[in-house]
Amino acid sequence: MATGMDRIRDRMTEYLADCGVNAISAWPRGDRQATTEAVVSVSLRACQAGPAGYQDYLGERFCEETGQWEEVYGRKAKMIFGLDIYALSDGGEEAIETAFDRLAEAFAKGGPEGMAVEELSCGETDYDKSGRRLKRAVKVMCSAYLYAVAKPGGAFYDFEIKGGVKG
Amino acid sequence: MREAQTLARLLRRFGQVVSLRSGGAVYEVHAVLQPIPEGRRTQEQRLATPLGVRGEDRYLYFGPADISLVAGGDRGVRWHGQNYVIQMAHPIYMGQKVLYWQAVLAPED
Repeated sequence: MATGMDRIRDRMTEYLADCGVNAISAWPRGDRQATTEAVVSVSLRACQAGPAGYQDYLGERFCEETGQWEEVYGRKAKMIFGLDIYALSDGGEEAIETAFDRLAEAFAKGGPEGMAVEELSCGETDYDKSGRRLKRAVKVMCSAYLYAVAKPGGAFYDFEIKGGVKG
Repeated sequence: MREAQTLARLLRRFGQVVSLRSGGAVYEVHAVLQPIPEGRRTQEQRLATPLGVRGEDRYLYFGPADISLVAGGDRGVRWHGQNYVIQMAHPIYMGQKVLYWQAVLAPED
């Protein structure tokens, strides 16, 4: 049974790419790509899941497919994604600023399906010696419900991510 | 200067042909490139980074006195199909004249 967390980072990367941000999931297997454009490296920096109701019981919902009421169980998760922006030293600060603007625009539209974006923040640009790039540390905090539906016999279907409360 | 002429002759004879790009221009010169192994025995040759895997080799460059090198910017070296960035570059003097240029190169990505 999947926990719903397996593709969460890729989902964030895909969302940003769809919004026109040059984003990659952090620590890819292949060689570093040569690019003059700033790159956003997406990582899951922290995740904390806690109870969202009594015994994780979230309530009931009516399933139109089966015509039956289903019990929904789940937990509320808070996730912090690292969205560090890297750019070449030569004229990189401008590229970083442009990339950060695009990130802010992407989150102003919403966020990845099933995730509620709560806070976007960044530090100042610095030179990352090991990466030989300018780097601005960026993070975004999101919340989501990891929920599962109980079958009539009590077994659970796979967990899924469902949106938290959007502000 | 006889020393500079002798060195230029040696570079032509034993050096490799490399392309230097500087300020939009490309120069083909004879230079000696050799890997720098000192102090790197405990380091990985290829290092994983958040943006992908990167080569960690460093090369020492000895090139002709009349083509100056500058670290960073759009300057670089191309050799055997690989681009290198200039990490540091210094003119080496004999008396008042530049005898040759020395630089440390890193693979560009």
